[in-house]
Amino acid sequence: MGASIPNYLTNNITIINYEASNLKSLNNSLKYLGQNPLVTSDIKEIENSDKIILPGVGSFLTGMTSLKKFKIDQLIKKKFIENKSIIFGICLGLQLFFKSSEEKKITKGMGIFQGKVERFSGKLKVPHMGFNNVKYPPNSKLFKDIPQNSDFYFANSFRVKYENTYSGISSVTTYGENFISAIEYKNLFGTQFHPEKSHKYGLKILENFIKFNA
Amino acid sequence: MLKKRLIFSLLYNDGYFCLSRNFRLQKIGDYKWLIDNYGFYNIYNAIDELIILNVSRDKKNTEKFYKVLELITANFYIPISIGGGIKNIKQVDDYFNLGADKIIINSELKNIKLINEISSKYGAQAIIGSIDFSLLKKKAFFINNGKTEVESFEDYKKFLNKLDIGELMFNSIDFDGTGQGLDINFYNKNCKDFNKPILISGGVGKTEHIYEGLKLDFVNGVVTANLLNFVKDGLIKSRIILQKKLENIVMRST
Repeated sequence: MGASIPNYLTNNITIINYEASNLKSLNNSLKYLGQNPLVTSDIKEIENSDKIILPGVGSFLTGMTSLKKFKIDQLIKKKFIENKSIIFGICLGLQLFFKSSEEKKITKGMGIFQGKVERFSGKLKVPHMGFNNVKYPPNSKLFKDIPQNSDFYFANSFRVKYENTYSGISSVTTYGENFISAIEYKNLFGTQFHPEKSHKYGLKILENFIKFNA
Repeated sequence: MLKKRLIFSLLYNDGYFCLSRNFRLQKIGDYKWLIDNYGFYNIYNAIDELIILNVSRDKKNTEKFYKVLELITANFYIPISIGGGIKNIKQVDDYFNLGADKIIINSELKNIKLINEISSKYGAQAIIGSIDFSLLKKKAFFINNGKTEVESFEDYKKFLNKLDIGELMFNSIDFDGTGQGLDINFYNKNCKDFNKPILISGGVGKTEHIYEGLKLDFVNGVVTANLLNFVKDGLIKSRIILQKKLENIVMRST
């Protein structure tokens, strides 16, 4: 495929396996970027990781139930408060950072951010499926060296509405309404889209994450 | 702005990739041919998604197919959908473990238990419903590789709109492999009022056909499985033309 494979000194990356995700694609892309991620639900192994990825497909309710079962929700909140490790949520993984979701039934999330996860409103087709452009805030670490308004791959029926209070920490994407397509705040990062499925700029996001200093 | 998608579909049959004409298969080459002669990995820059369909009659010999899947999925960082004869959750799990992001269901769309099982495990967005139709005899939808007819057109449409899946992919049996263009009339008449993303296929032979499909406002993606018309850098050239003509397609530096 032309692109040379970067080979960074690996500070350990862990993908949380909480029975609510399809991990193969993510694993493939990190391997392509020269990483050898640990895939685990073991709380001690996650605790000791410099970088943690919280992936996720499926419903918010199932995801949150699994996180609680492994006590991973408490660990992520603790790591956020102590500003330790870098945490990256993808798709449902990002949504779980928020206060609640109305998917299937009202379910509490980790509540790190105040927004609510709701179904897309308006007349457009749901799911929001395919590549869509992302407008990221100035000085974004996640989108470093990526052109503004590049396209990334989305596959979601639920979203958090963008409000001005998120200005500076959130990327915006428009699908009938403005919603949060990525977030970065202290040691917490997340994307509503799938970087591992978003061609070269998606891989660039993962590369930026790999290069962050823990 | 949500972008339109150019999707390439590989048809796999007992060790070979195939051309299909009106659902009759012609073997073209194996995985080595695909890489050496087709220059397959070059199409990564030309397409938005990849589909791989196992159309083998003998579904038991999956080992070879799984190996090919693993090789391909490890090299494509765009969405990959896998399908062909899916009957149970075990096959679905296998496909996801081999790198699928979505799976394609055709014959088992009426198997609500299976659909619910897949959607609760992987999400409704991970299911593409595939619909084959033919207008030659009468208006009809088919399943089981185009062999079994299902109920009336209008009833099936209502059923599809209610089904908890992510998107719908229509394929014209009559236009399949002819290279004479998509059945635009059919899609205009019948596909405007679905509540899910719509993919259309059957008949793409050149860039103009892809353009005609993508410019329909209710169409989200055009699928082509035509191995020979887009051999070597054919799809790259198509992409460059499409990027000039359409503003709602991802701009790739090809």
